[in-house]
Amino acid sequence: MALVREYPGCRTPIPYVSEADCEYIGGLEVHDYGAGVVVFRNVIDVDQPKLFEYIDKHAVHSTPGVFLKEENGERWCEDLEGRKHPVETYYRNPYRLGGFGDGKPVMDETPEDIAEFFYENENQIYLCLMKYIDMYTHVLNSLWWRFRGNVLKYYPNGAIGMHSDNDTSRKTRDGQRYETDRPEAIFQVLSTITYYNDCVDTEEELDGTNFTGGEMWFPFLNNLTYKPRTGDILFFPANYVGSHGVRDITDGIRYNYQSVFGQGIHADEPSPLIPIYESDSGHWCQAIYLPWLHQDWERFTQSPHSRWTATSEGPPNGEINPLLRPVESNPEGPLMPYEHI
Amino acid sequence: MNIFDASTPEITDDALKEIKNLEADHLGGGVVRFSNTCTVDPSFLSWVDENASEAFEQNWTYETDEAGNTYALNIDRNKFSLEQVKMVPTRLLQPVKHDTPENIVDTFQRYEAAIYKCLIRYIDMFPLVLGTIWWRSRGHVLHYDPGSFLGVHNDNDANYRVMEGQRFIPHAQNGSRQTIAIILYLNNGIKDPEELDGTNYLGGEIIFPYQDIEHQGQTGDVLIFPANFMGAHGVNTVIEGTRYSYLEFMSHGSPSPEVMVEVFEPDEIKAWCEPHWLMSIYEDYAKYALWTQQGNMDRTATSSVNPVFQNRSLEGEAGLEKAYSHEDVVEQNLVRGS
Repeated sequence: MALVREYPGCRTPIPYVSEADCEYIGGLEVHDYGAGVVVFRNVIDVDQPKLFEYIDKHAVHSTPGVFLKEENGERWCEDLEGRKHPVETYYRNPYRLGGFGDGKPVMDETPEDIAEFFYENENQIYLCLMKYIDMYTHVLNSLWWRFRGNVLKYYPNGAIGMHSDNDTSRKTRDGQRYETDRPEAIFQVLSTITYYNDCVDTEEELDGTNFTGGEMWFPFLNNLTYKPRTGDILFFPANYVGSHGVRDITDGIRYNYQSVFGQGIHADEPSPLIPIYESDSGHWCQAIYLPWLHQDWERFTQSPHSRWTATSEGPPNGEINPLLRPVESNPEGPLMPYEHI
Repeated sequence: MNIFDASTPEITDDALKEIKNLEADHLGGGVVRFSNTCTVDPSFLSWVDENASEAFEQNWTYETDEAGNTYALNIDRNKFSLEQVKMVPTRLLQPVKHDTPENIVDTFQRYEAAIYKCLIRYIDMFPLVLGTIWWRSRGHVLHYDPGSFLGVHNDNDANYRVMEGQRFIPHAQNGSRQTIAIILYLNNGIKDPEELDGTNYLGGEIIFPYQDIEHQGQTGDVLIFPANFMGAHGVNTVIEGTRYSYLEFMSHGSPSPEVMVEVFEPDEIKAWCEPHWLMSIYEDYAKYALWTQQGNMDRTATSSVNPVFQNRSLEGEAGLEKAYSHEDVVEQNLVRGS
């Protein structure tokens, strides 16, 4: 669909938004749950057997700070503080491809059709992002870069506890501050999840490709529950209002892809608190700048498919198009001309 | 005592009860109104009036461009036309100084104490906000004359832009660290011009376009809302009367002086509500959470989402032994990025 600036090897592509894309974006099947939680229905075709085989081969255990132990025939797992937990705890968190470990969704040795699939996934996220910005336009200037494109694989009994995506779980004790050594989360603004298989209601419907349980749950949004559907992309705010968890998977295996947009920190590469790279960076979904985001959205917002063109004054509720604000700082980074397609 | 340190109130048994009895109304999307949190003496507003013109002078600097047009810059160096300047509320950015009368300093301390109690209750409504409240900043007074308004914006937008692949990185990124905004209303907004009595104002409602909220503040209201894009908000034009409010922010993230994110120890701050660490917010909230649990309040709805009951380690990966160190974080990221 989208035209993509091509990079060799495993690099993440960045699409341009063409006239045809604007029409496509305008026609996306969208369900707005309110509060910034939006699902785009059925935006990507998933060749499940081929994709799952690839993920199964490369996804790795990814529960940081939890280790399997075995002694005298007894098996348990242990956390960094030496507390013992049942072995199931070890398998409770999803396996990942990307995010932890050396594997990435796209690597040099990745078969071309699989790589194409992940490119298409990121492209679709970007096109859906245009629509999301159109709906919640004040997000625009908080979107500097995207990263963390990684696959999650949940086994039965897997789940993710309640959390928000920009919380580093920082604490204080007796005036002493304890802070994470992975502060990226602080800068996360908007999260996306692409679902690769279906959540079904009953055991009878299980067919080897789907799963029961595993709904997304948002406790602060009237317990909003989203049931995964193949090819859907869910967007939600990364702050505490968008706190969420994944309910226990009761049977089957749940696959999805996560990618996040964030803001903040400096152009010095790598930046002191979070390394952000140019968009031709060599790794899959490192934090990379989005070189044409504003121009792409400007293009969409001038098309007849945008909410902003519905009336000559723009939306009626007092919103101010962020593109009209004066730019107040000096340019940095490479000049990458926007190609009008 | 450092007069610039809005010290947090001790969370005594009485304070716990006060927090529990606060009138809290969730307007939607994390926007919560607390009513009747404190009283405001008219003499305080007179003091604000007396200091507003000096503050106005300090809010603006003027420059002339090559074409000979004069424009104004606010303290964040955002550009405004001379016409726009008349429509922007005046901010008493450093309301407490060394020569500020003692009763006024006490009043600010009282406002801060009221806000802190609301904050604890707010955390109880959205417990996962707790880990994102590290420091507090920018406690200041806003003074809206008739004709003033605030356009819709959100409080953690640093006005980043990219054009032709080039980035325009804001030199001040403190805004991008803000997680929640807090407004204390210092006088009544009204709907009916007949009710104007010299103490209140007409217009000046706060609007949240994405939450379909319009709120007309009343004296003693504390409004707490998310600083992210979903908390985008504006203030309608004040039609008549003067609108007074007190505003501050809670933020997270380590200091990064290179992008003007500085955070001080509470006893080192040199101006009122200069960004400073909140030292006891976790323990204060935990005290409230445990107290309400003992009182057999139904916590089933929030226990699984409450860091106090989640038994999280002090720092997931790094474990108990590793205390905060900005230098370590920088160093590790340099290694990871290489």
